[in-house]
Amino acid sequence: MFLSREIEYLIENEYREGQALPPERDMAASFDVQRDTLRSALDLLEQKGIILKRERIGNFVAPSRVRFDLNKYRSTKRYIEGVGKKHKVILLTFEKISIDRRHDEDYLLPEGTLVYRIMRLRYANDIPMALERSHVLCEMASGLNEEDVHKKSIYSTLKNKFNITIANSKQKVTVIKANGLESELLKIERDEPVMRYEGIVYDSKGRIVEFFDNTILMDSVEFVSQSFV
Amino acid sequence: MTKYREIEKKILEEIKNGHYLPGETLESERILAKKYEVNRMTVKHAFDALTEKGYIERSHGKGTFVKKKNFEKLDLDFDKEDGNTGITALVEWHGIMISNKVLSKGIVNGSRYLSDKLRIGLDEPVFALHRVRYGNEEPIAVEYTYVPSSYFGNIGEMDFKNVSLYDYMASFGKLPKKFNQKLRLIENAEKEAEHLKIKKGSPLYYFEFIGMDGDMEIVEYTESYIRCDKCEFRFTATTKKSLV
Repeated sequence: MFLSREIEYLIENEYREGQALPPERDMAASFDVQRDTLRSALDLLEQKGIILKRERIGNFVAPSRVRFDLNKYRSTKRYIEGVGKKHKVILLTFEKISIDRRHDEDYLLPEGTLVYRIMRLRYANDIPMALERSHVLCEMASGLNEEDVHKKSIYSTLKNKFNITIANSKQKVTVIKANGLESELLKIERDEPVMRYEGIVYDSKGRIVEFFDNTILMDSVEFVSQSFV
Repeated sequence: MTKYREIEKKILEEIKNGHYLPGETLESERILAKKYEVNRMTVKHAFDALTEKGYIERSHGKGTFVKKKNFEKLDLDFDKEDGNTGITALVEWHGIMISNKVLSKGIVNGSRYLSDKLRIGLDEPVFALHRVRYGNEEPIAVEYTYVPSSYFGNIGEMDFKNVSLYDYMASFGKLPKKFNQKLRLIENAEKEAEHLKIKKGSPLYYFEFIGMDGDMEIVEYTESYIRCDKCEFRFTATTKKSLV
């Protein structure tokens, strides 16, 4: 347990993502422990998602997760680029619908409220990372169209075209099993656990602008909140 | 004031000032009678009055305890008073009672990782407390907590099965009030899965946080592995940077 933390400290301070760790024999010697002890420490780090083990090749620092900073709510594009990854988003569907009871209960909006429903697939380093379903209230962004959200941040469109300033978002993170569509698009097995990230987004006047529910690969993101430096 | 009211007031003061913590066992009637130099019946009356007022409770054969707070919604200790906590863990049912099983505890020396997290010298001892947290007697989380032991006098002797760590820390004026937190979902944490009685390979929340007290000192570093089927995480994200 403590050995794994010391290795984590070493990785945090001296290694980059994707970098190979020294051979296990050398690591065991430098920490002055048995090979078995080292191996179980590395197992722990693999479980925590800190390293990846490749059979007969070696151990590597795991790719860094996209970091959502709750004190600086931004577009997902900014978060992905923030960890040095290449960003891409593909618009799958764009439609105008009226919301049903389920949304009514979840989001305190009356049944029949008109929204633009935008479904997009998000990539980091050309690997699909999230299936996102965003619902923008029609009355807040009347006339929003496909062009506005194609390869663009919804938030910057809302800001530039509709003069809406996003202020905060109430969010929830749970785990669900991937359905058929999600597993196909995210290239995982059906029923594999995935993160469900949902939220309701308010503007600076406290009005609901958008609500979203996104399905995200579990190992691709993390959330951080800092109340001191 | 009658004699027993006087004793009642004295014990209540000791509860309020944190000499006795919620969940902690009080001395027996006999010992307290001796301590306050009163008749044992007087202590019994004082206990009766405190029980009636909900400050203490008696358990047959185990003694008299300071009553624990009744949590409405669980926050595994995370949701602290000043509301500046960021990420909050909520369990899915109400009226939950938290209990703990201590897996291990003791002093750790010379961990670079922990001294870095706690911002203390490598030679300063760290008290480690590893617990399984139960909600209504079902395991919910495995928590590995580390605190600088120099802040606390008798931490090694404390019974953290019954006493809340935060109540204990608060009694030294070292309650964490601000948190830096990190939340991830992980797959496969074998040892934790065992403690939590879930299948190996099931997803878990991994929640890591560092707590700072009112004097701007780091008082806690915790890694928590939390069941996804019992718990959900909520938070508010804000576009404004709200660091103080």
